[in-house]
Amino acid sequence: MTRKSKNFTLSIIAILSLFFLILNISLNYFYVFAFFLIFLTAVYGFSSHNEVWYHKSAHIIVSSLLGIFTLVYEILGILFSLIAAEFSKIKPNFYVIIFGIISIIIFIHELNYLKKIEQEAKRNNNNKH
Amino acid sequence: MNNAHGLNQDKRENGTVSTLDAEECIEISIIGNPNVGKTSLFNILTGAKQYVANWPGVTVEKKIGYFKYKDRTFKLVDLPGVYTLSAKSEDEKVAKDYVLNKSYQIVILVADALNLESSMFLLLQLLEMDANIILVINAIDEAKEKGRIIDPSPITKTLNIPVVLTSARTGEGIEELLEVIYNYSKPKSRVKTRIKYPPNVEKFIEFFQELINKYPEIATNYSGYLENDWLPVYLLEFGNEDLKLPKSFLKELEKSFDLEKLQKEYTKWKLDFISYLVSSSIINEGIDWSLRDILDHVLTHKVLGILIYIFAMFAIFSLTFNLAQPLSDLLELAFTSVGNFLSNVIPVPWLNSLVVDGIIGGLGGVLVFIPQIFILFFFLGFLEESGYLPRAAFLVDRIARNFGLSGRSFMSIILGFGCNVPAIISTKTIANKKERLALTLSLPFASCSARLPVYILLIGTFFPSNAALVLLLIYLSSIVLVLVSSKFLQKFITQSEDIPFIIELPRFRMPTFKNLAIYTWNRGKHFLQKAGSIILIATIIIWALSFFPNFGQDINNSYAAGIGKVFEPLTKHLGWDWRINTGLVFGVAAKEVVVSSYSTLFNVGEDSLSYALQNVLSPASALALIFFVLAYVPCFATLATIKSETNSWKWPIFTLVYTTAVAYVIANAVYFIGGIFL
Repeated sequence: MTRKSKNFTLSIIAILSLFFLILNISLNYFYVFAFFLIFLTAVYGFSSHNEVWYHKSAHIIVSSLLGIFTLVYEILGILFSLIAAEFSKIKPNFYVIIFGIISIIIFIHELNYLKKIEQEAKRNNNNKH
Repeated sequence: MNNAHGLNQDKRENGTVSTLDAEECIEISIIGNPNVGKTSLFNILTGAKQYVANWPGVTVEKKIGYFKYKDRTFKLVDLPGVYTLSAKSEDEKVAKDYVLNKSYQIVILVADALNLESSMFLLLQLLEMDANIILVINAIDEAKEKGRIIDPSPITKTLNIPVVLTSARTGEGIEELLEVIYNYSKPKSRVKTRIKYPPNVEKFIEFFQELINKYPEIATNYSGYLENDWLPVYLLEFGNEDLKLPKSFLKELEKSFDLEKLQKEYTKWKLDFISYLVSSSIINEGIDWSLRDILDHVLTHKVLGILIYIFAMFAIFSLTFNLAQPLSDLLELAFTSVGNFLSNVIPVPWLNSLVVDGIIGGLGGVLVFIPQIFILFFFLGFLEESGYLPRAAFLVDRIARNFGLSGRSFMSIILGFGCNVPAIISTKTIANKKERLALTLSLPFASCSARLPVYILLIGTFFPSNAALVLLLIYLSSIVLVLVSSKFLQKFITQSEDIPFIIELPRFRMPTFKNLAIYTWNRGKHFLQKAGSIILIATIIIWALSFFPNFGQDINNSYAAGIGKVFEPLTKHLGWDWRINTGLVFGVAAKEVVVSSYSTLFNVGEDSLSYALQNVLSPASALALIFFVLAYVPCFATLATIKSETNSWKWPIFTLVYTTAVAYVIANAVYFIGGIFL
């Protein structure tokens, strides 16, 4: 994965989180804060940090984890309303669900990339020995 | 499963297991750096259930347990985590004193497979002390996951000590450890090792030992240090600050040796030796990254890290409110039904009033908050067990320093969110005495879970649409209050020494549901125990005071009203009537009693209590009341802990007056500022 594609992933996260932040302003302050934090984490990822090779990956992973966490929060809310049989209170926030699913895809994709790098390093190590 | 049988310590001390004499019982101590899994191993070997957490400094006092393996019984002593035997803080002194006392036969040194280097200093110190060591390299499963293979043979061969690879998490290596302990408990199996130092250091040690003969008082006063060559090398490593050897003795040493130069030579040799041992014992197969590094890169960022921590707390409070509310409603329904049923069944009026209004109304008013309390502990447990909290401590270290505290103090504040008592005890890990005393006296401002029912009741009544945000504001204010109070108090405390904050960030771990359930239950059961004891008693007393002397006919002329009215001149301008005051007075016993007394004094259930409170309080007075409850008088248990930790009655009495004065000032400020916005 090139530096450009990392910037592309970070851009996707930043734009989508900003978009969902605006959509949630009239709905829920907690989600506004969550999307603001995801946006900020992605934006910090654009800065160059040459000493740490996984800088951009780290920002992609953490921002997608925050997205997944927000999804879990939403699902827990729905589940507890179901347990208490308060069906009228169940109003799923589809913005959070959509962003959560996208976050899962991005997280898995990035983790696979890091694992691939690890495998390659192991192979190179073995070849040297 | 291992074949060791844990013995209950209490039973043994009560004499139930009395046939074992001192000779049969072999004493073993567990020592190691903080957060390497010592207490986990202790629990596995003894069958105990000591509290284990994923952050350093959990064990602040030594803990004792027993276990049997084959035909032998072992006494196991779990010591607080230390990096070296040069003790600074109270918990480190506990470990050092125990090690110097030498009542044990074997020392189990627990090292972290992913950070072997940091345990090697302690290992060499113990060898220098001539201790019989078993080196346990723990978390071997996590090392394997990271592509790190540990080969113990170089350490075994070089130092002549047994090395066992274990995983306290999976139980790997525990059987082998038991077998090694059993075999090593026979003195014949132990091989003595004498470390070979560089020639100049050897000469120094020889000269030192000869010189001691001229100073018999040294032999008497430093007997614990005199085994092997520990005293001379301790002097080289840590200087004379701890030892306080006679000046004349030091002068004689300085005549023959350049101590500064020798110290550098000794340190270099030690570092090289450790580096050789570690590098020859570790084979790395992986690449230098892990999910921990990746997460830490962002979570310890000076801006993002703090925002993520605030977000995590915000999420926990939102979940506490949103998830618990339906369950709380169900409990409320149950208490109302029981109350209605008993109201129709009990014919005697005063008994009816006691059971229905007093016990069911008062106690039920508190018990409906069980879901909130358990859910809050569950998620706080998640943060703690996953290893996130030490990162928060690391982040706030810089901020805390401006208030004369360190990040380590932040861990105590977080503990204080559960209960102030363990939080105050945890200050033993703070080496700076000035910081420790100021923090001990300020920790009652950390918002403990006993205050939670009051917050939930008032926030739910007056700020339902921004409940989590208000709760977050209260908890952040609580942190700020502890910091500001510490800074203020430190101005009046004279002892001072600046000790840097060193915290080893633990690995991130996905907490298991079982561990979280145990954590939640251990914290939450305290609330249930209080409900069955102090809250129940206080509720009955409040009912009696509100019922007499006119048998419930006119509560405004009851004894309870009399107590509350005494304080009315001080609180009337805040919008608090006698009922609010009486609740606060009884809240001194336990903060939950504030809610149960309101249920009794307003003579209504929780739902109607909200309406009743809305008739008495304005949003600004409610907010002032919340902040007053946050800051005023700590409970009796906290005051008793302050007494035992400071060894003086002066400090608990000071805390009593100080917290009440601060709470009153804050309540006034919040009321007047709140009045502008609300």
